[in-house]
Amino acid sequence: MKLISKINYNFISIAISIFFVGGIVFYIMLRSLMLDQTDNQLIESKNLIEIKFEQFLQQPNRYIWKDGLISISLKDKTEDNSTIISDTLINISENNIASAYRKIEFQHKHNNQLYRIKILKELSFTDNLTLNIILLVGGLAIFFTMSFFIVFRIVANTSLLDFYETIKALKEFKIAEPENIKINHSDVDEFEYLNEVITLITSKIQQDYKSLKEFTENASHEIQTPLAIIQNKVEQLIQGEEISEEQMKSFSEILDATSRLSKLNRGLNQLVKIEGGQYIHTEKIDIQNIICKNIDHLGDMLLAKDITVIKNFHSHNKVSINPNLAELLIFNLLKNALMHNVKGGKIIISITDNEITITNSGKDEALNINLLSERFSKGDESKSLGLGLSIVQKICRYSNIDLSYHYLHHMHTIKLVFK
Amino acid sequence: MKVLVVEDEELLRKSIQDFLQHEGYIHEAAASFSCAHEKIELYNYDIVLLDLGLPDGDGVNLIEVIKTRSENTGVIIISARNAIDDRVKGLEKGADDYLTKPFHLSELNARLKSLFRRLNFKGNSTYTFNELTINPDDMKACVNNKDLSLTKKEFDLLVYFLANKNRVITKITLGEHLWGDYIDTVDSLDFIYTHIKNLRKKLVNAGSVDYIKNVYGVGYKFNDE
Repeated sequence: MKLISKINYNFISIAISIFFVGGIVFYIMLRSLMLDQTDNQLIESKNLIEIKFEQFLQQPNRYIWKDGLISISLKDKTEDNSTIISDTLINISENNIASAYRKIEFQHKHNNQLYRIKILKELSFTDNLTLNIILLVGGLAIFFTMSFFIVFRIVANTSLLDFYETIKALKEFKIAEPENIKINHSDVDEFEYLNEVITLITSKIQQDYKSLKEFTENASHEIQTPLAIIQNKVEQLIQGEEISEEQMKSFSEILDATSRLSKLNRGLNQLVKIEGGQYIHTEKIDIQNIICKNIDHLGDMLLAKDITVIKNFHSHNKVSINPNLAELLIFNLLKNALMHNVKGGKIIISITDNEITITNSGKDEALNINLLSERFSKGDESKSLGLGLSIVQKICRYSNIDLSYHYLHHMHTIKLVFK
Repeated sequence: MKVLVVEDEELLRKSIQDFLQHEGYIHEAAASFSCAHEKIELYNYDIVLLDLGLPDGDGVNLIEVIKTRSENTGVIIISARNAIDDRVKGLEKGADDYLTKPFHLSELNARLKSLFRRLNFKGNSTYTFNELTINPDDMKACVNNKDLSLTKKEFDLLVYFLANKNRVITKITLGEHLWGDYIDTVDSLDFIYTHIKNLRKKLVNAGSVDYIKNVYGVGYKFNDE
């Protein structure tokens, strides 16, 4: 929900409830005012009748005078002599609909005779007036709310322009790029303050990122050099004449270990580089080409494991991706499919318009898809570093590719959907 | 062949020098950018082994100095920075080859010899050893002037062995040389044996001495003695 919509929504619901409660209060007050006025008129009529009672006595029992229906009757003494004003419903007209009336009842003594006098005044007129006033006020309320709603929308939209600019700049912000975030100045103090804070934070993030990157690179450098020394020294040692078979085997194991360590270091370095978004540049890449080239390179390894590769290429589309990442992605996918394969197994590669699926046979149970992202999660006891699929996942996330994994009858399928 | 080793890490520099000494290269060493710069200005080298991360400057800047002084001096970058852009940048500046640390000494040896041949014989570098003659440029190998039909891998193996005569080369070194990163996809390096067996068979059948010896099952050695 947009901020403007949120404010408008709140504003309208509060306005409606205020107008609703206000309307009820207003109605009650207006009605009591109207009643007061009717009552005053009734009392006025009463006073007039009392003064000129004789004239009234000459009239018929019930007659209309000054909008009021007057009835005079003789009364016994026992009745109380108070004046009562009350509401009443009377069925006067022929259509059997009762109308609301205001009634005043009082006694008057004339020539030693007690009379009971009732004056009735119809309230429907007052009610109509009240209703009309309420409608008018309600209409005004709706009109004001609507106008405010529209005006607020326009005002808010123009005032929030700077804010949207800031959001846009933040969205386009790339941590790996050397230049700091560019945000236009705002004439709104709060937004300007926000921009200042954002500029400060992002430049700090960039600095931290840069030093982290430098640290990683330095660490990688520092690890590679001692590794190179170990490796080179051992390689020189095995050139000696009097090396026993046992010593030779130990040296060979040291070389294997340094080689693995070096590859691990390289893999981690690659991961950091992908995460750091250093592969910004993209090109239209022919994935099929890369797959074929990789399969060619893997020929001897495929042969060694007696693995059949089945290619189902239905499309020759090019996808937009960084060329280095594309190589790394395909290499790691094929490597994974080959490493976790069984002797005499197969790899099925299918390409359609925007999808690539790589299915391989394997002895492992289904992989836990959540573990896929965790570094060093391994399917079996093989020599793999467990980095390959992490790299694949990072590349997919970075390049906006949907990655999914299925397992069925010892066949592992990894599917990539290019968006 | 005269080689300058530019490397700030003392142990590594020493180990490379020991190796060069052992292999019969003439060599000198520089531990810093300024020292290397001075040596390049003063003397002529066939090949400079250049580490990029030097304490007092980026080794990349030395490439231009080397190449302006003498086009025939080869530059092999040895760096721990294996970022692709670094590699591309180095090669664009004029470096001839790139080795990522840690590297195998036999790999370095092969690259040194191959580069030296490339720079000095300019595409006409037939190499003869006893009855063997190889031409890396058109990928031809002969035994007593009789053409051998070798696969690409077998040919690469032979070239590598000839560059590293009398050196024990482990299987992992051979694997990484021939298949690069792809070698990681297999758990066992035994399939390399098949390629070596085939190469040996072809060489012996063509009348060559069986030079390639197995060393305790962990490596191989091209023995010319």
